[in-house]
Amino acid sequence: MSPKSIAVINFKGGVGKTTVTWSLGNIISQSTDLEVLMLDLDPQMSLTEAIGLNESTGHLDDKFGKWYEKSLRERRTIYDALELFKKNGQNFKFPVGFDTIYEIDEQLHFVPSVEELYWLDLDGFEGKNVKDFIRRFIGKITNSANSINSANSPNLPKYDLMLFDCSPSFSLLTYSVLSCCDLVLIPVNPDYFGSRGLSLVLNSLQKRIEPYPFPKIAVFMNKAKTYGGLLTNEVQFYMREVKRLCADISKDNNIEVKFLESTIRESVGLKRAINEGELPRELVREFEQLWAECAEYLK
Amino acid sequence: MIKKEVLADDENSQLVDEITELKEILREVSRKLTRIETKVKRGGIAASPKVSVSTETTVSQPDETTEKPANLSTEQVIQIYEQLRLKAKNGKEEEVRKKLLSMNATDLSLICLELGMPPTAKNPSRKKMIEVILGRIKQSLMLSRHIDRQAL
Repeated sequence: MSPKSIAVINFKGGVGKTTVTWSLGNIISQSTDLEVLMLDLDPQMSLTEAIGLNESTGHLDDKFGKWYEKSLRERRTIYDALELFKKNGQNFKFPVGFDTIYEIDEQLHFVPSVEELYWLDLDGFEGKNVKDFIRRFIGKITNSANSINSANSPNLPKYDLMLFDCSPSFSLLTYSVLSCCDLVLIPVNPDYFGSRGLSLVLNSLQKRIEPYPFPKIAVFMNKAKTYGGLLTNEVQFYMREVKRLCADISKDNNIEVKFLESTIRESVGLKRAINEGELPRELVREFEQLWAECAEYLK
Repeated sequence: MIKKEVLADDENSQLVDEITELKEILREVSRKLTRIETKVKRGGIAASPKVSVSTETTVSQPDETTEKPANLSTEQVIQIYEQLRLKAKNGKEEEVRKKLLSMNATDLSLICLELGMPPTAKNPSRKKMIEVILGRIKQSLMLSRHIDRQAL
């Protein structure tokens, strides 16, 4: 069975795409028996650096740093795969193994980003040529899991779930992910600009981007302010507005945009948590609920 | 020695669990207190003598046919907001403003509270409250507005 894929997307920056991707990956791999692969497609490399950075030294930690350098040196990154795809088309040769995928722990693996992804659009890649790249790349990962194991190149596991951390603008790779993912998960901040960002994404998905097949879309509130343990009235106001927006767009465009009831509270410790490898206790239940809703919707 | 350390570890982990449990209880208590506080504040606003001055058309009830009530529930406030929003959406902005001007301070204050008015002033003027509500309505309409170049 092919893995389910979730793309965490919002064209507005700072809504918490990276922390949501990591938190979901962390919670799913720890609380279920699912094998999870996270992919950082954002050239800003926030997820890559958060996973690999040693806070006390300010450098990539030894284990990840050495692995990452080797992967770059031997041209085994996702960008290198994309270059080969550009040259050779659909049948490009790029066997994916643990030189492209980093093992964070037994059930949580990771494909890091590279700076070169910044220049993708300037490097002569064309939208229609890149569209199928992620689908093919996932295919190679699945094939590797099914191939014969050898001592030098151990097999990748059969991933159950892939989580994509997308860039905050519409890039060629985002287009490629949208064209093959099962679920587009959109975190929205409860403020005017955050809610407006959602409106722009949904409008462009339907009217401009038109990925085919059209993925399921789910929206939830992230970084919600609380007071005395309850969501503030301002947060609730934007929640109602966003819910209305989802309903209106679903109705007007004949697509399904689901508003998830799970809400993630604002937490100052969340970004640091990636570094420390552990989700803040108070957010565990919220992310578990978010995952439960996503899993139900994905069925 | 090792046995003692293991016991200490067990005890520590048990204490951490108990602290977490207590924190959760305190959070629950805090939530309940906030709920009560909100209700008391609402009651206070509604009972305040300076608020029931408006004798003009009331919008406190969604059907607009009954007298001004002593207090509005959250659902009623949201319903009023939805009515005003719909009017503004249909281009009847002046009507919305008139309606807000006709409302008493209690109702305006409750609507502002439900819409999450920024806590800039303790006793905001009617004018300020009306501007806040109009601002929220405008935001709501702007959220789903897209410029279609082809249609220009």
